[in-house]
Amino acid sequence: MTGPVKAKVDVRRPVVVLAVAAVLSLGSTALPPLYGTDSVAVTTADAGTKAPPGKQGECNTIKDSLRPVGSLPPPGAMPSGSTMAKIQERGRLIAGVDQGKYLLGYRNPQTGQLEGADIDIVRMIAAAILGDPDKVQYVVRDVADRALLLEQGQVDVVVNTFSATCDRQRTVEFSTGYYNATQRLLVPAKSGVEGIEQLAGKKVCTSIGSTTEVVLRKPEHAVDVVTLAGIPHCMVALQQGKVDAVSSDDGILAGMAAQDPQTKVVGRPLANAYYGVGMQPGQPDLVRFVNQLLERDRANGSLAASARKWLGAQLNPVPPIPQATYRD
Amino acid sequence: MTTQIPAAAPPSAGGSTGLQRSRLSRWTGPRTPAQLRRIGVVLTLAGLVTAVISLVGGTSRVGAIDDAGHRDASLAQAAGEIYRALADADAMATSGYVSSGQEPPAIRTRYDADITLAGRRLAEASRLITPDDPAAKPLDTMITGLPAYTGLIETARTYNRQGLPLGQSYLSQASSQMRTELLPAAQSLRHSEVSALNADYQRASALPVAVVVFGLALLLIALDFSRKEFRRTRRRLNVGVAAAIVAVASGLLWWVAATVSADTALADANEAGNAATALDEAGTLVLQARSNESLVLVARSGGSASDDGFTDQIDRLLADGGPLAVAADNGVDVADIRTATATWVEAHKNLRAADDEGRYADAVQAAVGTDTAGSGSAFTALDKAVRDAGDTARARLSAATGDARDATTLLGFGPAVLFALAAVGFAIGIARRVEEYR
Repeated sequence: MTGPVKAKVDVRRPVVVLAVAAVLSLGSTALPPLYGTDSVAVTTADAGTKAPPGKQGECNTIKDSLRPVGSLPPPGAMPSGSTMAKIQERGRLIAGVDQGKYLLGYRNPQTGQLEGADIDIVRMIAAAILGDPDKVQYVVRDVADRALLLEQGQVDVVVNTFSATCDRQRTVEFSTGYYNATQRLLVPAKSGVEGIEQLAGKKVCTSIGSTTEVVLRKPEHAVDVVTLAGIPHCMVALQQGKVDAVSSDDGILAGMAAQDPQTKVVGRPLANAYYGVGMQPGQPDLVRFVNQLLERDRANGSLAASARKWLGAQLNPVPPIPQATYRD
Repeated sequence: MTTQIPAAAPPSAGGSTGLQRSRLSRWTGPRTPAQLRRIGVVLTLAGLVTAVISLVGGTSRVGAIDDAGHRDASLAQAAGEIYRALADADAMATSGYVSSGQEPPAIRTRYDADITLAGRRLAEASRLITPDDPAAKPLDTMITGLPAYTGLIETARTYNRQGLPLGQSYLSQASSQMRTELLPAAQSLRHSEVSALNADYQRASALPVAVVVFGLALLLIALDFSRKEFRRTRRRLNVGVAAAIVAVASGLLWWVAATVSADTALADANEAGNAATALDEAGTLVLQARSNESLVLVARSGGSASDDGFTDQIDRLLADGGPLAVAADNGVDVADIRTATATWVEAHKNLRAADDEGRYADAVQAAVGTDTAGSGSAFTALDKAVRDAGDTARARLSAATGDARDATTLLGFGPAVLFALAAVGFAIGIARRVEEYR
């Protein structure tokens, strides 16, 4: 219209302002939000499982035990200065046992009391020292810790299907054998399996790190060895159809078979070992004393009676009680 | 840069010299009406754009808060409940086994309730979680694993009632399945649901920068325009523009007020959510420690449990950065829980000493008895303290999400309507002014 127009109405300015606004808005998407954490990080990861025990040693000769001396002192009158006198003074025997091996060392769920063939031995020793079979402090630990309990001096005796081996004798002094254990097989009753030969390529379960495992892995057996934490775990696996057989000592297998009538103990002995009472090598007087008790009970038939009482229904015949042999 | 300009030529002076002027020229060129028209268009468009941004931002925010309050919060809570119910079931199953023979009815009842609750929540979660959701996998693990778990527990019970120790092995197998399979899955489900909930909070609490910047820009332009028009024409604002300015300012205020009050509520919800999650975690650690305590009493001989399990769980519970520390950071008073934990640890030590010394009956009595100094009572007290604190945190969470939702009522549409009205106001007001040049 008239004359030069000098920015009467500024149109550019609003546009610039809006452009800046648009840029700022876009940029704002990069701003962090106020609330809400990215993740909730607390814990987990399960505790590692126990490392498997070391391999069995190379040695093969099993030492015999220590010969009893003198006559058996009456209960409550142990020779002064002896290990038994210390136990008598303490008022109780401390014994390492198991609470999960049916018929051998197990806790009766009805009574909460420990029972079994091994427990009988413990009670017999307690009665001989203290005059009362109930004066026992039972210590239940992992089977793998049996020798450790003695090494650390935490128990007087270990009675827990503890077979004497050359390797264990480095740290443990065993009594003479009170039970002759043979390694056999537990299979489903209707499987038709009568021996290890029929299990070639099949899964056979045993507890990890046991002498049984070493025997099963011999090439002539050609079985697929599965190892679990313990024989009861193997039993569960057998019931669940995850393994074809369980291999262990006959007494232990008898305890399993007694809990499931659909299983039975079969096969020839794959290995032999005797169960002894484990004691500390530094307490030979206790070893001699226990051997004297075992002599007595072999002679009066109470050892055999105890084995028959607990295992007779499953193992027929019950293996004979091993003879005592001494190195001195 | 504004220069002093005398009043414009009278509008009527030689204005309409010709209708021949093309339509286009009404919008272009240096003439004042054209400039006014252009600025009118800019203001109207800017108003509309702000309205759209407000609508999008508002509905997304309301949606996020709704999600946080409904689907995701209920899934996160269900996941938390599953986690705790499973751990509780295991603690009950194992501690029920400790008492010889038949387990106490109260423990059996609580186990049954746990399994029922876990099953129900799993069913609910599976209705809400689609197959391609990352949470579907842990959900599957639990739905298939839970029946297997209860099967093992029932087998253990059957053996236990017959007085056969093989039950111990089934019990420890069940407990191990719980520990290594079900609980990690429950934790993973809970983790992804809590993450979804956190994502909701992030979405809901993102600053509405676009709305604020556009609104402020709009206000700035409108005020600037009015100021210059006043200087140029010595005339007050007209009604349209004035109303538009008021509408823009109101829309902005609405946003600011809603954001401030919702954010306060969201901050509280976030804190309460973190606290509830941490307390769930704490409760589960306590329950797993209890399972371990019981397992060591009944099934240690199999090599399946050692007391380290108890110590591990308690260490994790009390650790710096552990669940109790996190709960405390999120406004929970955990002093009582810490005291109760210390009491239990002490009682547990006595129980272990009794068991290790061969006083098994005493140990069992401490574990399952009602003696106030016993481990069983100490556990019950601690469990209750953690549970109560968790319930309080969850109540706080649900109140806070309710507040956030209230604060954002109509936030989707309200300000958007105001900005749209502002656009109309600018259009009408500036059109009026242009007409004065005819």
